[in-house]
Amino acid sequence: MNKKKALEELSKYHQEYCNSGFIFHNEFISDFQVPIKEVQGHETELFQLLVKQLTFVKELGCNVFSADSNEILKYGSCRLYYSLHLQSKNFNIRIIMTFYENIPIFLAAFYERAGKKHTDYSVQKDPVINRFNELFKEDII
Amino acid sequence: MNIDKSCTLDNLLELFSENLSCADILSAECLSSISAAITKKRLAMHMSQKEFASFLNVSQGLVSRWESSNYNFSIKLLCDIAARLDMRLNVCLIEPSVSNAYNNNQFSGSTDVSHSGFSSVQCNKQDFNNVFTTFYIPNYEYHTPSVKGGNL
Repeated sequence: MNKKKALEELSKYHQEYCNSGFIFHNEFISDFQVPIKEVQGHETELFQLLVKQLTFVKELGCNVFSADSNEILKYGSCRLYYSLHLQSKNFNIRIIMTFYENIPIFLAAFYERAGKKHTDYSVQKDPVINRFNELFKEDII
Repeated sequence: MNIDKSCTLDNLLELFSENLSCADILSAECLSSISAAITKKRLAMHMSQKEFASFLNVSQGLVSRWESSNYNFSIKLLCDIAARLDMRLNVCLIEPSVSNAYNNNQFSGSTDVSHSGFSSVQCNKQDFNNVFTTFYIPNYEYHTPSVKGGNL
């Protein structure tokens, strides 16, 4: 099997979660390019942790927060947002996502540098909510 | 949905394509499936990591690593876990042509495992929905006495 085919199969496996598959805001893809550059030399490890979290989303759905280290973020709205952890001794990255009509929506990713036990997610609150509204505002209205 | 603001999983995976080998991709898929299946079982049993670890006679730290890190499961450990959880484990290497046939649901019949020799493979696609990964040896005929609890 060649690499392209393997990636296609992997994508297809996760897209089976629902008819719409996984949705990523454009800015999430831009966000994620930053940690990929910064973990130079550990891209494979990052990829494996990313695939693990995507599989958790597929298999656990809204219970994804129950997997080790993942969290629910209380941004004060009726919508629940989740922080998925991609963490090793070489990097510490967070993904913020939510569900809309059972569709996983990936909104932001950032490198957690503070080294604290508890991340301050307040900085991401407005961008995350704005990005969600950019995707679905018309549907909600 | 505002499609202009969205991307797909293919766009995300493409970010890694230069840095990965085919083996990296395959192992990520396999290991993630195993971790997710174990975690899903833990949640179905309504157990914390501590309770689950005690049930499996392992440390909580190990369960945590199964869920959060790139833990590389051995076949033996998987067999131990499957046995304790009363789950089934199949491991297969599939030829691309066989894999395509499976995806097109061209297989039919019941799943059996024995060691009667090397001939043709028959399986029920339904069975594969319950496995983590599967090993196929081409032209190996195998028979299980029953779907659950069969021996490879």
